Amino acid sequence: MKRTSRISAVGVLGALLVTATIIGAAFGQGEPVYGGSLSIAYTSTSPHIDIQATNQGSLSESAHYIYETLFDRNAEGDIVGLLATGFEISDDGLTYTFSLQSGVTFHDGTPFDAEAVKYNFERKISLQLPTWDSIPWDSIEVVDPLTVRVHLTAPAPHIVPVLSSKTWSMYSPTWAEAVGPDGVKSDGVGTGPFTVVDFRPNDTLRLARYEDYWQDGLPYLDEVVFRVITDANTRAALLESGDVDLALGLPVPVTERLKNDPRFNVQSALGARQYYMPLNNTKAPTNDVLVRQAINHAVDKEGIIRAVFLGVGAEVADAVYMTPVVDGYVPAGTYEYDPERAEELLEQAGWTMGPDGVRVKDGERMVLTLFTRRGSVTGDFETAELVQGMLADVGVEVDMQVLESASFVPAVTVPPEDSTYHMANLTWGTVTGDAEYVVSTIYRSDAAAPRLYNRAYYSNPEVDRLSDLSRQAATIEERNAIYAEIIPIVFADAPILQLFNSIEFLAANARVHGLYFEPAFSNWPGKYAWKTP
Amino acid sequence: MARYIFKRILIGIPILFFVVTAVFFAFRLIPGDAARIIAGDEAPQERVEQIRRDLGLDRPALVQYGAYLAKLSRGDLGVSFSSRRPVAVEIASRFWNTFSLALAAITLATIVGISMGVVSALFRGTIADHVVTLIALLGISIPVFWLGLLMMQLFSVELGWLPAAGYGTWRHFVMPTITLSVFSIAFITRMTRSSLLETIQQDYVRTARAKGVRERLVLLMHSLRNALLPVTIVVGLRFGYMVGGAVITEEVFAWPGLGRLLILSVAQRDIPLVQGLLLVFATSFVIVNLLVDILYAFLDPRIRHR
Amino acid sequence: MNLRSPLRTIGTFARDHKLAALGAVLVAAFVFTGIFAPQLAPKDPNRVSVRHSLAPPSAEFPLGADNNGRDILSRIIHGARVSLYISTTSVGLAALVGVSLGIFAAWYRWTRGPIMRLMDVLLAFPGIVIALTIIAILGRGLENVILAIAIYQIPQFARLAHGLALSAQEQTYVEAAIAGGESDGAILSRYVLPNIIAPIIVQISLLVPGAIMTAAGLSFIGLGVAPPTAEWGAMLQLSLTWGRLAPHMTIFPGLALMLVVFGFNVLGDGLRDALDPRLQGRS
Repeated sequence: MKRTSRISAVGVLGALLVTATIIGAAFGQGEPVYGGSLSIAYTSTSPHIDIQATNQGSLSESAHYIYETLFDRNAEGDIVGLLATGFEISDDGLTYTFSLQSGVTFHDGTPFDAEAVKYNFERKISLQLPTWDSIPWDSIEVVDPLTVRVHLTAPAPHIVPVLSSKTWSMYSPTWAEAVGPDGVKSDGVGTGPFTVVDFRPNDTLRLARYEDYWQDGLPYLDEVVFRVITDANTRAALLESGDVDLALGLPVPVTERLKNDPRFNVQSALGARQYYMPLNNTKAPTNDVLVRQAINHAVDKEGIIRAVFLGVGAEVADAVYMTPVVDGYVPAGTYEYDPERAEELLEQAGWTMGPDGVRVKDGERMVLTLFTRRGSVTGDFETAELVQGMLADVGVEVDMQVLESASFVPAVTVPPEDSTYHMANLTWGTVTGDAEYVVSTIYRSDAAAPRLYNRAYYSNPEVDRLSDLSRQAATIEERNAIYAEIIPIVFADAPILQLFNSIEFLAANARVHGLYFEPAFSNWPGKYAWKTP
Repeated sequence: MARYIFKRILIGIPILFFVVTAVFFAFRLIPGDAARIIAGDEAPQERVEQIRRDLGLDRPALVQYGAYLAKLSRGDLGVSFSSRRPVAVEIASRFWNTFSLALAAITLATIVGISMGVVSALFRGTIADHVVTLIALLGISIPVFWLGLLMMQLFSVELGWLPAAGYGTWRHFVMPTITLSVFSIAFITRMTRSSLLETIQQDYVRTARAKGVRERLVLLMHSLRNALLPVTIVVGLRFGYMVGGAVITEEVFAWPGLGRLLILSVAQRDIPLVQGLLLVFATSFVIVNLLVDILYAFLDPRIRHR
Repeated sequence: MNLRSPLRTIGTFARDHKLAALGAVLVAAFVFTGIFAPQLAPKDPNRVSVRHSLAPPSAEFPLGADNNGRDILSRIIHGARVSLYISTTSVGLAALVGVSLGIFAAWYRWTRGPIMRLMDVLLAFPGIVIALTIIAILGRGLENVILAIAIYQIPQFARLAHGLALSAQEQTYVEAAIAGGESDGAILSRYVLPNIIAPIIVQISLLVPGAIMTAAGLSFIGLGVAPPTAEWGAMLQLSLTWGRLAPHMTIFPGLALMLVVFGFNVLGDGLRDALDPRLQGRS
């Protein structure tokens, strides 16, 4: 016999999830004004706006203007219903029943209903689009036009956070069928507050108010224009000159200056993105845990944050890949900056100081290859230079290679036997805001690149075993209890150089009001934004 | 004349063919994977393979090359890997941005450069000449990106007079135009000065002076026209180079032009777009060269009557 | 020839070309700094120190410190070494290849078409575009920067050498040598080359500043030598982000670059006037 209980999504989810940290509230005050155009400078170099086909942050920034998901996060970072009004879980945790918002239409007039949800789920699954396999699908059932039921082969309490990530956006089935997998790349038809007017890759994305938007009175703006400005300093310049109203991914020196300028508002919040460098666990000398721990001790994380992020743009990370806004996170610790300890560990590992200031073992000099990009995220290059300098202090030479994205990504997306790096300068974003994504796609040994994102090629059978166990857990609490065992194990193994969690900044002209910043997704729902003339 | 022009065009074609072939094969020898870029950092391997098949990158290089040439002969530049839009459309949408900047810069350079050169030559040896000479020397010595940075610091950050970057109103044009033209101003100044001085020394001018016509007028009437012939060539060549050579100026001021598109498409391994851009740069250079030759023939009676 | 003669020549040159003499001093200072950079630099140019991030000019850091706390004076001094190395090797390589091609094309007439067409291809692009494309293909790094700059400068030498060699061949002594049955190699090295060497030297002096500027430009757009190598263009690129907080990061590397290029330009002008009267008055 199956027992179900109908509960409001908001209530349950609020209890389920750890509240995200929000610094600062929504911009501005007063009575909203209708009309006007908002221009946004951002970094996306994505050649398409096919959000179901990617889980990259830069695309999700514009996607939520066009598309909506079943669930969303509010200003406090809690998961709330959006296109779904609530859901029920069966006792065995294998069946989820979602009730849907009524009166919603896609931009092309197609009604949003259970069939549309089923279509979109099946589209993600059949095209094997990002995170489709994080949910153990069995079948999808249309109960009635406003109710859809998902049957699973195993419990998956993370299904709600997963479905709240932007890559699970709802496309108009009529449109998606008509234009095919290529057509959805250059256009967008969703249920969101804005419709696509014009999309020019690497240039502009022009959106207009959707008159039949289901949330009464929203949005306020007539037009939103996203401008791709790859250079962070230029974005800052455009914001300061009034050419754009809003800018993202600004260098910290700029946001610090804008904070003191009454013409601008700056919000910042700890995000779900961590700066890290995988230490190749399959390649000597970083296959030695002592060496990996030594590297962690040799790097002054606080110092880098002071120099590169002016002390305000990041916080020292205390768990591998996870930031405090991720559900399931527990603090595991930090490797204190202690060059003496680092040298001890290196000595212990058999690396003695050579005549040229570089350590040697069995006649081999300690030279580590570090791959980095420049400007792919704030401060990446500067951080790499400082790490290089700090490791030199303990006798580790770093051969830094600055690569274009076109070479960098393939070079760090290879099987372990083909890998040529000891370290790579990367960031990790937990796109679902849920620890399951971390454990399944980067902790586990079967997540090793190129299949998934474990680019350190970290492998610990105990972690794999506990991770298997966690997949039987029916509730988030039960699962999180197992994760709380896994996280410290991974920390002790030091698979990566654990750096810092980024603080995301959103800077806007003071005329822009109503926006709030949800950092886990880099989300600033434009439907609430309004602009004084 | 028509035959001459035809011959010049024929010379241009192998240049363009060589460019296409060299770029096509060079970019296939190097690491870097367009499919991976399009798929994104976190895309699964199967997705990358799918994109590679979609783009036809799994076929042998020679087959791809043949297909590309066949299309090119019909005037089809292909489709950009990254945007999936025709390369011609991508380039056309940016061409005017670069062209207008180059046009503004060459206009400024010509007016200022010739004026300064004439002043310098007319008042040879005076303080005005020395000042102009020094300015011109500094002009060919100053790094354009540094000049851009300094102007940005002063006029945008400190004074707030001009927008620091981007494309739009005439105010956006001011700093990029100056930055792009400064080398040409100096170059044209020097060219005008030396060319004018050379012409003044020539005989027929001395004859005219002997007739007692007022000296400065003689210089302007007789010398300038002849002296400006070589200057015309310099102006033309500088303009031909500006279309592609604005890369650094565009980078400093985030000007949405062809140079930045080249940097971006090179980074994304968007081979059709890189090829298209290099073809455009080479073509504009060949065309400008041709126009300069025609103009030169038109201006120089010795060639015109030949 | 006694020893005083060349000294007197230099003295006369300096008197007649005051600006060129200034240029010679700047160039000499640049070359000296480049050669003795490790001895001259007060600090390790790559030594990072987060405590001194963005430190303004002081006794400890005469020109201030950059965002990673590195001494800007030491980085400028080491940057001179990099610039000197890149510019001399790239222009030298371009001269070697270009002059050979030019003479070859003049001497063996059948090679003229292919060689000069190839030069036309290279001349159809601005140097920075060629360099950028080559670096994109070969990757970053010191050697590739040198190669990229050398390649776009080859046609400058090839064309000049070709024209000069053609006119040299028409000289009676060359015709006499041909009639005398001397080998091609002997004629080219004994009669042709010495007669065209002066304008080539002038050309080298005129192209070195361009090479310095292009190398810096490539670093500025992120395609130059590998970090943490101190390079002026790379230093200026950092100042795009940090220059507003620390103007010394913008001012000093740019000033160094301008002074050196200025020095080469005025010296080149003077040399052209002095060594190659035929080019006098031309730009």
